[in-house]
Amino acid sequence: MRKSPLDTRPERRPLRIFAFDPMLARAGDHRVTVEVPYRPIEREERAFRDDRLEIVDYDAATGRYFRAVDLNDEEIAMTQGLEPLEHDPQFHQQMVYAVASKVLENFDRALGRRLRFRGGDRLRLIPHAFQARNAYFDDELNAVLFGYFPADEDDPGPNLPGQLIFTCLSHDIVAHEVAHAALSRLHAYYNEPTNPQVPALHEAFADIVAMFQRLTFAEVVAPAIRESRGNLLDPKNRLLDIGAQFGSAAGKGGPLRRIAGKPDPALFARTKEPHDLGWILVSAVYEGFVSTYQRRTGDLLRLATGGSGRLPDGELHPDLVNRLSWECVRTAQSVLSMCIRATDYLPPVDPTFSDFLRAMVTADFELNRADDSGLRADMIEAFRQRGIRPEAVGSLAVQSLLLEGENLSQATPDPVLAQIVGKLVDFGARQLGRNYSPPKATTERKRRSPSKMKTPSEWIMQQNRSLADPWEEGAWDAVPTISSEDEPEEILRQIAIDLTTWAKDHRDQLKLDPNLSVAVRGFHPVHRIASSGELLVEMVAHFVQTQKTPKDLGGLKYRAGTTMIANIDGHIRYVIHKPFHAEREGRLQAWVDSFDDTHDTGWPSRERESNRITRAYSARAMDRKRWR
Amino acid sequence: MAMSKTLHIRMYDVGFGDCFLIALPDKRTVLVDAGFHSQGKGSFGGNDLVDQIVDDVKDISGEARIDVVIATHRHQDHVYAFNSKKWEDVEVGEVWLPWVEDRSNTKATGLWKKQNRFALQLAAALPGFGLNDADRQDVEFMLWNAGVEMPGFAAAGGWSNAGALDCLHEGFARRDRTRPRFLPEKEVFPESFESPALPGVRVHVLGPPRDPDLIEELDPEADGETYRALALRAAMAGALNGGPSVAAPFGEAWQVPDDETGFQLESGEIERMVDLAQGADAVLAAEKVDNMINSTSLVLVLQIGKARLLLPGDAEWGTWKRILADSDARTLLRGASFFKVGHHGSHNATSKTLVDKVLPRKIPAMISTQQGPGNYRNNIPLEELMAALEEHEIRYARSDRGNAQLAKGFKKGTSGKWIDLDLPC
Repeated sequence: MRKSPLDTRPERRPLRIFAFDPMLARAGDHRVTVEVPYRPIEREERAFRDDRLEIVDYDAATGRYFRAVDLNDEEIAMTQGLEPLEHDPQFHQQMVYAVASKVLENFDRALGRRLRFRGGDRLRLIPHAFQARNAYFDDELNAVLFGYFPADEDDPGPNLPGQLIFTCLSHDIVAHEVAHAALSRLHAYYNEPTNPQVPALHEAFADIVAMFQRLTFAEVVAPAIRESRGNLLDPKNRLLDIGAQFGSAAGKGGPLRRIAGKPDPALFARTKEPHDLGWILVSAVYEGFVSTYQRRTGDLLRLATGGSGRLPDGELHPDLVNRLSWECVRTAQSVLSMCIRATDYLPPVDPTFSDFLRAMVTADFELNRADDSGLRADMIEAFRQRGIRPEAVGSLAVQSLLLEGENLSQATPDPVLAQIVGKLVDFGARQLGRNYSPPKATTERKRRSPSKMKTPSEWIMQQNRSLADPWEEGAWDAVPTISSEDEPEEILRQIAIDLTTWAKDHRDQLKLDPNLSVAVRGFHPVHRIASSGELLVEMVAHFVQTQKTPKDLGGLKYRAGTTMIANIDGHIRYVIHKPFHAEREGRLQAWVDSFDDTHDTGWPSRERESNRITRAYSARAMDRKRWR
Repeated sequence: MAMSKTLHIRMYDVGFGDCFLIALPDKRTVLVDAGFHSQGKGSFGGNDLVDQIVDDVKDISGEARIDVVIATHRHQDHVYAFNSKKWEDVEVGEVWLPWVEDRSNTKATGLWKKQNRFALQLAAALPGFGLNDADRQDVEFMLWNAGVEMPGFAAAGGWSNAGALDCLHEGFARRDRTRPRFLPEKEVFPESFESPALPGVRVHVLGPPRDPDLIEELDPEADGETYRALALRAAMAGALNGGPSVAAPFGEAWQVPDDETGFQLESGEIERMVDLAQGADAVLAAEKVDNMINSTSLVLVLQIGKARLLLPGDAEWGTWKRILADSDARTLLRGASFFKVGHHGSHNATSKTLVDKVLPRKIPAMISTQQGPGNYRNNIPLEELMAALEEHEIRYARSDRGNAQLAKGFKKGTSGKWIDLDLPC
């Protein structure tokens, strides 16, 4: 609401995008307008940026910059951005900006804080980065690189032979890649494939974000509901084309279509390929979503059919289509938030699908104890049908799936922790208000100097370098020194030091090894409003320990970690841990052995590359399989 | 005839290549491959190999006829000698090839077209890589072996990969079965059949899989990035010589002129991006071409009486993995009574598990190989593999050691130009 004539800043910025990749799905109208949160944009000839995203249109294949679009230009702004066109590079820039902004908004909304890239850095989006059928998040550049390529001369699909195809024009690809970037920010160690479910979780999570974000576009959902007469599992349903569009390493022709079939509980145990494994998770979540949608719309169908629930032949009434669409959008938004929120309840290292299920259930329980919509129960059921069972849990009742909370009545609050949480939450609250604050005066970006490599093999090594771990090599018990270049916010530098000191004295409580140093690998403020209206103000912090081992783990490290959730009084609410344990270590070794068994012929003198596993599952390699 | 109950296997010393002649008790003959490397010849140079084979089959059956000619895969070191004009005088019962050689199968032809494009692109980009001599020769060898004409490998008489394949498809004096048999013929695994050309012999096909999607090395999309990177490098190498440069996806009106001021990426960032866009390793790319063809190699078990000959061509680990995972196929291997060691004894063609856990002990084995200079011959044959064979009492003969003391059961041919083995069946 305006309070003065000078107050003209809009809340949203409407921008047009392609909802279905025009290159892959030529039929039908696939343009929609999305409204992204309004942020002031600063533009130069070679780039434009808001406070978290920077679009740089540099093509490394030809060494050219393409002129940046001016979204503030009144002629462009008044038509809701440029018209969607396949061969307008400035529209491409607009599209990646719009889709990425939408993804970040969904993260902000679910997490109860503004997602902040490390050091307050901007995520770069490079819409025409190279010539190949791939797009991936490059950690080193903190950038998503989108490729473009000529359609196959012999088998061009719906395109002309040799016509350029742009991966940045696919909503799914953009959203998938930005979700990878966001998850990499929240859980840096998930880039280490310490078990086959880790890369699978990364992929599945990115797919879930892309797919459910699209399901929140009413303009896309309504026609699909009309065509499929409300049946979200109809194999002809256009919304399932998302699966076809993703392509799949194994199944050609849309793995999501198989959702409609009966799930095979044995499949999960037998699947090892991360993309296939990821699809099992995606299909579980999709089915949970459909069950809830069906329950929520049962009454509507009965109302519309005089109580029979059986729809008559012919077109559905437009009012019914609208109501069904609205329920679909609403449910999709809940699922999306539930999945993103789960990341706060995941251990910082070595996650499994079981951890994800428990995190999802717990995160949702915290906000919404009653589960009125039944979404939580539907998710559990869909997971169960696919053989994804929580480890070390006796029954599938919600109660036993919940992560164990700490008993608040007995513990005394920790005043030091309370102070830390207080400072952080205060910082987070100010960040939340950023929409309305003036744009940051500084456009300085942290200088990145990616390491230079000489020979091709060195280059390959470096491409897949595992995470740089600043605490790893240095003195373990030293309090970290963080330069202002790494983290410009003084308050965050201070909190990092305080938390490290605190963690050192509380390894016991964090269920970590008392003899190994602890590294603080991230801490986030949380402000969430529960369904009861109660405000939850908490801190999520990740602590990691690494054990030095002389064993060849193919580039992996043996780590333990704890995610701690503490409230503003200094009470620890959850300690979600992956401790050092003989069984875990054995499992890691078995995974390395099985990797080697399947990848080479087993002659001992053959040198194995020291980083072969991290390399096999690098973002670039994984996404190459995904988008082919 | 059925009384003789012995079959004979002759391994010719072709250097870096494969050529085996099998004579069955009923005097029928099977030729498995006839190739060599133009720079790594053994005791034969080309036409003289064919002369020798023809003489040998005449000795066996009295006529210039081979009942079955098998070409396991299209690498030059397995098919090169099929270029010889001398085959025009030889009669053949049947020709067996992997199904990917079926010229009427569009999946197969599409595959070779892509593979060939990739190899040509690599050849075009090669000068721009600035490789050292050893690596360059390595890449050149692999490309030549894959059928790309490489200067320095040119052979006399216009021999080529295409010529050899033409002979296998259409050549020879006469054939009982006009069309080659493309194996496996169905999606059954393992496929077993009997051919009128070899009565009483049961043939089991363990590779390649009929479904191209199951051959991961075959997927041409899988390495689209390397392909594009090679294309860029090839185009840039061309641009230096006045050829066309790489076209930008959008015209000049969209581009920011170099002299315009304002924000630019850091040089380190650009370097990384350029590396990501154009980074390709010529040796790895050539190995890809090489592996791809090896992955199409036939893997056969010929069941002759009680003998079971395991003839895996140059099948590599990808194929073996599938074979070892199947219990029927494993059973066949467990009953093997002869093993042709794959790919000249390289580390990638025979797994430790196969020798340690699957193959029976005390069977004879043959390795057609040639130790020598060149990266492609590094660790060929692999010493550990030889040791493992010995440890399991698998006695073996090497084609390049025809003049050395041979293990029990093997017989030295004239001047060590071949090695013979008699096998009860």
